[in-house]
Amino acid sequence: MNIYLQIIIQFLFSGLATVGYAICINIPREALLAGGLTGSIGWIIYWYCYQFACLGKVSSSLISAFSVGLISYGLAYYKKMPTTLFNIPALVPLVPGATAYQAVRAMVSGQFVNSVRLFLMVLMMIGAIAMGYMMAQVVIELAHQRTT
Amino acid sequence: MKAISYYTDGFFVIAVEEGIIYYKIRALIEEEGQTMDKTRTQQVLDTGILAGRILMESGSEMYRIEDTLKYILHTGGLTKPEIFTTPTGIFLSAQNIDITKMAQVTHSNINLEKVNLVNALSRQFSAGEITLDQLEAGLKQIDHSTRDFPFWWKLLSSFFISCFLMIIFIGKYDWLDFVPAGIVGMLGYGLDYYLNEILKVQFISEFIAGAAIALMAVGFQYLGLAQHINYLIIGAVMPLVPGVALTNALRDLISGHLISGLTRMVAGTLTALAIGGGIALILRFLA
Repeated sequence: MNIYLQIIIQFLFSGLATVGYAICINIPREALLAGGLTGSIGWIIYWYCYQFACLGKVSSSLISAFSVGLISYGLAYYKKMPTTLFNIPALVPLVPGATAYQAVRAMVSGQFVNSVRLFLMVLMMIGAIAMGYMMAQVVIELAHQRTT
Repeated sequence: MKAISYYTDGFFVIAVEEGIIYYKIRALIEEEGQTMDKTRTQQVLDTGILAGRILMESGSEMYRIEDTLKYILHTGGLTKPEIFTTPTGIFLSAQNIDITKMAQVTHSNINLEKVNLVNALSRQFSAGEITLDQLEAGLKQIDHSTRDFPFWWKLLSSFFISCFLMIIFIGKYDWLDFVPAGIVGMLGYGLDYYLNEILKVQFISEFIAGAAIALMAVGFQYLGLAQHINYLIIGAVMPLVPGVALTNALRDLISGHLISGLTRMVAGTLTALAIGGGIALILRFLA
C-alpha cells in the first residue's frame, strides 16, 4: 500500500479511536478534538519508531508515552484543564491489547512458555508507558522550578 | 486585658510568674476559638470529603486528589491538613482539631467531565472567587447531575474503537473484518454496560461479555462473514480492556502511592483475567 495513504489511515484511525474512547469515559466536549489529536500524534510516533526506526516495542512505547505526556501538559496549560483529560484517552492506541490477547490465546492452547513471554512483554510495555508519563511530569516540574 | 484580669481572678491567685499566666490564658482562648468554629470546621471537612469522593469515583490520579483536598482544607482555614486516601475510602482531619471525617468509596466509573468540573471549582475556591457554601452547592450539583453523552453515542463510539483499533493493532489492512469487528465490539460493550447495571459485580459482567464476544466471533466465522477470528476478537475486546486502569495503577506505584497502586493493579488484573477467561472458555470448546 502507498506510504502516504498508510500514514493518513494510521493517523485518522488512531485519532478516531481515541475520540471514541474519550466519549465512553465522558470527557468534556471542548477537549474531544484536542484529545483525539494527542492520541494520533502519540500513535504516529510509536508507529514510526516501531516500523521504520527499528526500535523494539518497549522503547517505542516509552518514547511515544513521553511525547504524549509533554503534549498533554502543553494542551492542559493552553486550555486550562487537568492533564488527565488528554493523556488518559491518548493512552488507548498505545495499550498493548493485541499482545495481551495473544498471551491469553497462547495460554489456552497450552503454549505456556510463549504465553509467559508475551505476558512479560505486556507488563514491560505498560511499565514503559507509565515511566514515559512520569518522565514527562518530572521534566515539566523541573522546567517550572527553573522559571519560578 | 479584660480576659486576663478575669482569669487571674478565677484561677491564678498563687501564680506569680508572668510567663505561666500568659501561657495558660493563651491556651484557654485558643480552646474557645475552636468551639466557636466547630460548625465551620465540619463544613470544610464535609466539602473536602465530597470533593475527594467525586474525584476518586471518577478515576482521578492520586496526587490530584490529595492536592485538591489540601487546597480546599487550607483555604477553608485548617492550616495543617492531614489527608489519607485509598481507592476504597478517604480520611480527612487536621492537626489542631479533634474531628476526623471518613467517606467510603464503593463504586468507580471513569468520568473525566466530573474531574474537570471539580478541579475548576476548587481552583476558584482557592483563588477566593467563590465561598465555601457555593463550593459545597456546586459539588453537590456535580455529584447528582453532570452532563453525559447519550448511550447510543457510547455504543457508536465502541463500534469505532473496535474497528479502528483492529486495523492499527494488527498492522495489516484486513478490510474484510472491519465491520464485523465493530459490530461484535459494540454488542460486547452494550452487554457489559447492561450487566453492570443489574449485577453490580464488574468482574462477572466482564467475564460474560468476553464469552459473548468470542461466541459472536465464532458465529461470524461460521456464517462466513469473518476471515480471521483472532483479528476480530482483538478489535472487539478493546472497549473493555483495562489498559488505562493498569497504566494508572503503575503510575500510582511509581509515584509512591503504594496502597492505591496495588489496589488498582489487582482490580485491573482481575478484569483482564475475567475477559481473557471468558474468551478462553469459548475458544477452548468451539474453535
